[in-house]
Amino acid sequence: MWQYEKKLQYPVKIKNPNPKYAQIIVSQLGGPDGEVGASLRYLTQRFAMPYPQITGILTDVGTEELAHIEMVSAILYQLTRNLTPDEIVKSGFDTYFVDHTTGIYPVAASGYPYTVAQFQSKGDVLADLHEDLAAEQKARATYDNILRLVDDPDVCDAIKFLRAREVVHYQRFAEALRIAQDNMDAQNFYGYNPAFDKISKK
Amino acid sequence: MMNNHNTKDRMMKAYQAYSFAVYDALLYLDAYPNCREAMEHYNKYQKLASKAKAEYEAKFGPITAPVEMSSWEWTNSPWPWQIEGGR
Repeated sequence: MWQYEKKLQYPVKIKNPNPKYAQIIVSQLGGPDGEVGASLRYLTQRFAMPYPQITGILTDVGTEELAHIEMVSAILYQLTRNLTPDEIVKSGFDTYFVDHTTGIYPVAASGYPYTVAQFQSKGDVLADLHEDLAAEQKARATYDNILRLVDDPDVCDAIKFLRAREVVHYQRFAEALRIAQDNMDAQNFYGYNPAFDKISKK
Repeated sequence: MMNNHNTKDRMMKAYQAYSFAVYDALLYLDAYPNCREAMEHYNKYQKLASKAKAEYEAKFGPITAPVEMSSWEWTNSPWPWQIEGGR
């Protein structure tokens, strides 16, 4: 169960619309390393996780990613307000506009629609945690690329916050991996999957 | 009017900052449940966050749907992605 709060996790206040920037940043909504996939990944993986501390981390990070979906969407909404058809064509935003007008829709910057095939819920403790660690680094790298392409302090401020959160999440998942390994057979981590195999503790 | 917007922004920012501190401590405590320092930090900012939330809500309308209400105010205030004076 979740309860909505009528606030953003971090303020988004963009003075100047810029559809070109929106077309780049939309990848962090529906792209391969975007926030929609991040949230679904953690909120699905947590059911198979046998260690309550790690289930807590997956629940709380997955919930925060929902707030990041809202923040990225707010950035897109503000970047695409008050546009003229001429601005839309000149900026190259026309290929998004023709299908979605200025509605928020999860696609990659290339236009490829969001697909759950981009993430896994493997039901295997080590496989899932390693995916989570990689996912946070890939999202961090995407935010780095956005910061290389975007030159507007209002946009960069919110993007830098989101980038910093990827680093914190990576740290928490690294601790989750350590917690898992502390509970596993140090001589053979891959001997069995504690999310499925029932083996009595030594 | 401008002043009122500034106050609203400032009070919202205070709540955002305090509730972020609460959330970040919560996430840390998932990994370090026995850390007393983090728990004190969590409790301290939880108090500050509740206070900031109540103060904001009294002035500018509900952040969460209220426990009890005399009129339906939930959809009267702007959504958080809407900029004042914008669309």
